[in-house]
Amino acid sequence: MKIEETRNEHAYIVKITGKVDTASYRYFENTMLDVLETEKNVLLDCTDMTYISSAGIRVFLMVLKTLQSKNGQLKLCGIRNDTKEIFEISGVSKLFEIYTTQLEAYTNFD
Amino acid sequence: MSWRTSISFRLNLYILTGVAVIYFFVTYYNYRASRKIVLQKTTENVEQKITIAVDNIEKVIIPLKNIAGSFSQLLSTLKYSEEGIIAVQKSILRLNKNIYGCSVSFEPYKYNKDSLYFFLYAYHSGNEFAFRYFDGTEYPYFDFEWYKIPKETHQPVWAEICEDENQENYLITYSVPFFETADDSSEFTGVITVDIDNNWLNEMINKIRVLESGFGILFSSEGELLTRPAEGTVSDNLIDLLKNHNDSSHLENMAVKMLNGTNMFLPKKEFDGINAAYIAPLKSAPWYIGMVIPVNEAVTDIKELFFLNLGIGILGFALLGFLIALLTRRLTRPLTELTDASRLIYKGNYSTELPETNRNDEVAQLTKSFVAMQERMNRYIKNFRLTLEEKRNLEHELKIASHIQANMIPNQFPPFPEYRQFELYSKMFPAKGVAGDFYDYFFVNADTLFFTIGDVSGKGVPAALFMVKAITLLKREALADVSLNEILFNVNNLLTKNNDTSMFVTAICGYLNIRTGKVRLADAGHTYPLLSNTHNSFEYITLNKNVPLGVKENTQYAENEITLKKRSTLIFYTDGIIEASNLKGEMYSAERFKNLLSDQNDHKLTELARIIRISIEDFMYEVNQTDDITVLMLRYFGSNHEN
Repeated sequence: MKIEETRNEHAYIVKITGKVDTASYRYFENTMLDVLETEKNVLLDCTDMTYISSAGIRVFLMVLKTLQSKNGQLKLCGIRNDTKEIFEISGVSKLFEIYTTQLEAYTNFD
Repeated sequence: MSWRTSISFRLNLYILTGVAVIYFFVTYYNYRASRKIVLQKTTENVEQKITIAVDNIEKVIIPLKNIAGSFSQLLSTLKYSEEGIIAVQKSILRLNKNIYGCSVSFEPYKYNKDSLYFFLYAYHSGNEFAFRYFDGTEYPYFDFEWYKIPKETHQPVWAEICEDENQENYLITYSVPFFETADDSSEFTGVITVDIDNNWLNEMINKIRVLESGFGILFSSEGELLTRPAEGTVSDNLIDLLKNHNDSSHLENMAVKMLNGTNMFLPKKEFDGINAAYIAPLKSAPWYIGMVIPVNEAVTDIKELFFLNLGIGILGFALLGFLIALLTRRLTRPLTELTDASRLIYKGNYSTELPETNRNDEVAQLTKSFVAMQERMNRYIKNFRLTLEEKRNLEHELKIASHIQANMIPNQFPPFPEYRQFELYSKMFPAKGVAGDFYDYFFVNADTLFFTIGDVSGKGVPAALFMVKAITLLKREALADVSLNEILFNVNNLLTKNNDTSMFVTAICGYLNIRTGKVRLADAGHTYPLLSNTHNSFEYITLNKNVPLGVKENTQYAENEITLKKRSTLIFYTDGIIEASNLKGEMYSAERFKNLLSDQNDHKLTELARIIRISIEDFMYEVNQTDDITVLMLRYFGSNHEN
């Protein structure tokens, strides 16, 4: 798993590449905890995320809850169909704002 | 530490070796140089003495030769009567105390036509002179060398030494031929001899002293000793050596050199191996004065000084060694004490008192650092012990907590032995310590069994506490015998409120009506359960998906209803099963789980649980379990199994 972080005028963008599984979710979690220290608007780009385990889903939920508690926003984009299924099985897909592209996601940040 | 590796020993070794080598070299060089100078001075001294001796002898010998020469001239030119000859002899003896005797001898019938021999000899006898005639019968002088050689060579000659008439004195004879000259011819007529008493030579030579044991000798070119060395001055073997010089080849070399009239120094290895010698030739006679230089005696003082120096040196080194040892001991004593103390510390006596120091050198610095280190270490050890104790206490408390937690989930199997309509089996394999998974079941009324399985996000104590909260709330709500949606709605709201830690729970809750086999299920983000089919295998059933508990307030939980046939089995599990990983990073997966259970529904539930556990363990192989694994199985047998 690889994580790239960028920022533009709309949001702080975290791009995930590869698998978020039991082996890598801690790194993802720690990275996100650092991001949450300072950021309020976060876009998680999942275009190249090939898999996510339940532990990974929990990190997504943690990010969502943390941002909501400080009136921030979390948006996802580019979730592939196979990973989308995992979100759905976990019952969390309707909790997230999911967009197809980064551009589409930006325009919806307040 | 061996004494050989101690600083004191090594310091002593290096310093003493270095100093000793230098000292002995200097001392020995000094000895050799002094020896050379002393020998040179001695030789110079001998040279002076020998020159004086040569002069003194020449002063005597030359007049004698002249006298003999003049006498022969007289005899050649003047016809002397017997009385005339005697008169001359007398005056010669009178005027020359050094001349013992003087002879005149004639060729056969030369002096007297009737007499074959004529030999007239005058010599000192006390204060008077004595005269002797000889004829051939008692003294056939023609064949003696003193006569024969001058006759043949027509040259004066020094004859070999011989004893005098009374065998009291040794005499050295100088023979001079005389001739009868007529006009331009000259005919050998006889020989004049002058005998020198060698007492005065002896005296003169023996007066020469080189140091205590050195002495002078006079010898002829034939190697004959012309003087008698004083008693005790010469060792026998030296006399032998000189006597044997006749055949010694280096004497020949010596003779050649000396014939050239040069003085010669013979170092001891060319002389007798013990003494050196200085030899000078006389000009007036084929003789040599030799002086024996006792090398050992000459260098005795130097040698003594050398050995004295050595002795002082050795004493000095002993003292130096002692001082070095003392100094290093003084210097290294704190170090030794420190070493001993540190050894004790090393052995575990951490509070060993370190040696005090009032100096301010490197060792003192080291000691100070050591003391500081020890203090620090002791502080750490104290802290460590405290921490360890705290950790033990904490572990103990955690164990108790774990135990309490374990007791919050049912652990009695079979749980409902009195019911024949269904069977329930559940098992949890916690990853470590306190768990985040849970399950529970109980009857809410006579026909209805409530069951739930859940998984708290996160790990450790926070997850465990959250799990306790979740399971307690679920039980409380479920016992009110309300709809699953109501239960989950209420529990979700309670868990979401003030949930700063962002923790949440995925769970499935269900009601089983044991009379009808109807099962109501509500999902809260949990894994899909498995349901057995008619082929004895299992299929995942798709439930209406809902949000996990503790995420979003006022969530509605859609319910599902299924009816169990006889021997239908429902399997609920946590994602610890399907997300168990092996070394390659592969996951066990829902697919593999389903396939494992294919055609397995005729097993007892306990056996099924065992199969699942073994399969997962085999899959993970050497990888440690990272998540709790929980399984809850429910099998329905039908209402006619009622008691």
